Amino acid sequence: MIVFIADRNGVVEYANPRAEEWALNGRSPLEGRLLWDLFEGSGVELVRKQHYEALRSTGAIETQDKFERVGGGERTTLSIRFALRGDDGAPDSVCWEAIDVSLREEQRARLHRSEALSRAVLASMPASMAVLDADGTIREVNDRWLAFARENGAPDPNAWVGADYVGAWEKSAADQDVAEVARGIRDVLAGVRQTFSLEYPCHSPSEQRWFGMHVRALDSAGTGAVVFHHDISPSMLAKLALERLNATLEQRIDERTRDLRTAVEELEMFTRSVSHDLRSPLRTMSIYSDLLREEHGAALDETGRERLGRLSSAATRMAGYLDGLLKLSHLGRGSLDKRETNLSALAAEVITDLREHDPERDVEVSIEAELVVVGDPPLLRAVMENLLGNAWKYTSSRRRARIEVGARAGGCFVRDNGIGFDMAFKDRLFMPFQRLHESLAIAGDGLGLAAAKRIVDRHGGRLWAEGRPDMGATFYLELPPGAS
Amino acid sequence: MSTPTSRPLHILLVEDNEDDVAITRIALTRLDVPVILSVAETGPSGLAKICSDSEPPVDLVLLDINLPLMNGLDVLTHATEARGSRCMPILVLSTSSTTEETSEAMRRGASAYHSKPFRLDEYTALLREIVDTYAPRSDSPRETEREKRPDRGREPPR
Repeated sequence: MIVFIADRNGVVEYANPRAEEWALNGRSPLEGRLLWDLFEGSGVELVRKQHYEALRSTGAIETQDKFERVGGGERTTLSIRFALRGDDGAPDSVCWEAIDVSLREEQRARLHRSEALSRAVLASMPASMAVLDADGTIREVNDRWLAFARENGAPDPNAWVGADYVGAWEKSAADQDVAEVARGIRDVLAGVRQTFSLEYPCHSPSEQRWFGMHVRALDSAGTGAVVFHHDISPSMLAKLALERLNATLEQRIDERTRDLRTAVEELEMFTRSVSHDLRSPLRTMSIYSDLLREEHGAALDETGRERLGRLSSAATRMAGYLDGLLKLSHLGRGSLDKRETNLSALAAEVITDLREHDPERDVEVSIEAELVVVGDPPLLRAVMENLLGNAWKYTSSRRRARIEVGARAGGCFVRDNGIGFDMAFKDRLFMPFQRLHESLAIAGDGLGLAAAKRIVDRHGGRLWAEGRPDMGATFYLELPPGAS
Repeated sequence: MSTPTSRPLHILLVEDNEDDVAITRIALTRLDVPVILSVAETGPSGLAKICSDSEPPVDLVLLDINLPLMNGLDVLTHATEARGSRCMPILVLSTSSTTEETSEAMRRGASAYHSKPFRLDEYTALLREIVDTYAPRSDSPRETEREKRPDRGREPPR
């Protein structure tokens, strides 16, 4: 309790210690000072006015006031003032007793603000919300809840408050989902679980709708729960649209794949039949040119015999191309028999064959040991045959020919010091019937590298080359690590 | 039947391509051994000739794969079914060979499988090898000759 006594002119005659502390933080005695000098702003006039009112009044005056003190700080007080009278009965001083209720007022205001905020938040929430008590009875609902009830033709939206919400679910427990909802809410109310969530369809005659329901305990004491329903239709519709899109996408991919497979099969069949059908007349040409040379060669002059020779060798070469084509189309089919394969051993075998076939060549060969990859052994052998055969062929003009088979991650490289190639043509290297060198002396069927690339592609690997004219070539082979 | 060449070799060529028939005739004349060449130009007519007993009997069959009406593989199947162990050697001569086709022909009872050589001298050499292997010799009974033939993976004749 704060107590001031001031004389009729407002000069302080007495202030208790609480008053001294309250008014001036106890810095100086208040006695002898004007009471309203302790205040600032509107406080000065207010205190002065109340002093004189009390002096004039015959009874006590109670007020609640707010004013600024000297030294700062707005205070709220509950006050009672009454005049003290002398022997003559005339008032000669005023006693002012006050309690500072600033703190309480501040708390009340804060609580009020907080409640207003909560209400505003709940009202503006796009979700429907209800607060349930421990029995599952609705105690409060937000605007959205009421609006939803109105939109969906509830007879009296206000009837929601006080309704037995969980009981309503339990009564309509026709199916499994509804029973699950009732059980979920009861569990939260009983404190068995903190939350319960469920997504459910709720289609109206005019639109497809889905809601997400979320129940959360108010506190751990089991005093109730909050129930939210929010419209998840947009995300559900998006999800369904995406699923539909994925389904049709897969269907479209399937169709394309089927079309593509058919096209590839047709192409392979075409290749097979063409190379077969072309072979037959070609063989006739080849054999009849042999016959012509043997039976009538004497009747031809040197030029005539040479031209006949060209005819014959062209037919033979063409037969080689057809064989290559057939092999290439064959590579596209059949399944791969993948297993651990020692490329070093394959390379050594191929080199042995090349040396036997071409004993007069002296080629320095180095093969790194234990190059192990996973792949189809006969097909990988064909790759090594092509790469090494290539290196063998294009080093034929070298006095000191060198071929090196070395290791690189996931495969190997084959390097030679042969005539190399221009990097501008590096992609043409692997195309069927493309040859980068004119010389017929080193001509192949133009299919070897195409076949090798096709094999490596089928393994999911990579085959590429680096080279410079007259500076040799390096072919890189990379295969994916095999599954167990 | 006392001289070694008392009976010429009877070859049945099942081939629809006239050029190939002509080439085979030419190559055979170069072998300088007596040969009777019968030709069937379709699968069914080839099969009929294989299955009927002709005089002189067919000693060996050169069978193409791509034939009108019935392909060579089916001719093989029917021929070995019809004749069983009495079937003469049937050699497949194909224009283009694939490993699948080779193994399929062998599985169906072919005695051998060759792709047709592109050079006349190679073809002549192949036919010489075939004739040497299968030519009947009058100084030994025919059945014994059959047993000398390359293993065809069948029951030996009784």
